[in-house]
Amino acid sequence: MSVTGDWTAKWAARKLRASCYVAEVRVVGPGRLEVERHGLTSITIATLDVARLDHELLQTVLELPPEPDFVLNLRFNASLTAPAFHLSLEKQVPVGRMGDLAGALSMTNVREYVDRETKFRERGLEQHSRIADFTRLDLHRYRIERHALSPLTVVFLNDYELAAEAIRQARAEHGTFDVVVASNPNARITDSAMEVAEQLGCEVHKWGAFLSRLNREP
Amino acid sequence: MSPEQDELLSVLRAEATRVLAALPDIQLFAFGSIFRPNTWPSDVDLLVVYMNATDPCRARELLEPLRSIMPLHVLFLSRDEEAQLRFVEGEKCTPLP
Repeated sequence: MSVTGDWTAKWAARKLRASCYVAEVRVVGPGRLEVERHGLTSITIATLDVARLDHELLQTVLELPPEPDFVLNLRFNASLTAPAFHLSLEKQVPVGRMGDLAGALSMTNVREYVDRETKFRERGLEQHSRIADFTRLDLHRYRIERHALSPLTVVFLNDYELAAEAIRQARAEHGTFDVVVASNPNARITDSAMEVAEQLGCEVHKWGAFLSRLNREP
Repeated sequence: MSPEQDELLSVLRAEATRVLAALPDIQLFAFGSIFRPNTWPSDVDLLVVYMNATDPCRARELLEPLRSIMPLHVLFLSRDEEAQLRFVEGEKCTPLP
């Protein structure tokens, strides 16, 4: 295993070769893969590993040839700034992790990929009777307007377990917010996480409890 | 395990030794798909069990060189949290190095 050079493309290539949808993977440049698929068109993947993907960096990635159909950021819990998120939508180039790419590989047009978690989450928000409107601020944050109740800024975290450090890190990365929701249905919320949340003036809930919380003020 | 996975684990163990030398109060574990036979992982799952509130920040800095060669997914639990969740036992975490 090489530990120099563009490791992200090589790492992703190795993982993709195991997919049943993939016939062949070629590294065609720094952070660029050409993926031949069985019975579907070939696609180009941009690979990187950054904690924070902003508009400037994403634009640079998108403008480097060959043009990507999907941007694979290997970094867990990476933030995608609001302008970068909107650029991704405007250019119709999804940004995601390996699990997202795995889901996109079977699609005729990978550029139409929307992750399952977002679909599930937004369907839940659309169907909630207390919600007047919601705006996705960036990859993890939403602003929710409610009927006859105050608006809320909500951060969704997908950690294995929701621990105190995850709450602190969310505050450092996202600034102030009202509620943290544990996206992972199997995640447990530690007592320390609840204490830190209280100290920081926010709440922590799992999805079901969050939906109930939307019906009331604190 | 494939030779590539063995090499990956060797690198991980060597880096863990360096991190623990600088932060002797933490415990480091690996878990998840890195141990699945003949499967290249999507990312490398690490658990850091810490005592002091400043440890996570320092641990992130010390783990940064590893991030330049592999995708890390790091879970930070205080010792109290680990005792509450029993994550090490539940996920069959392997201590590093």
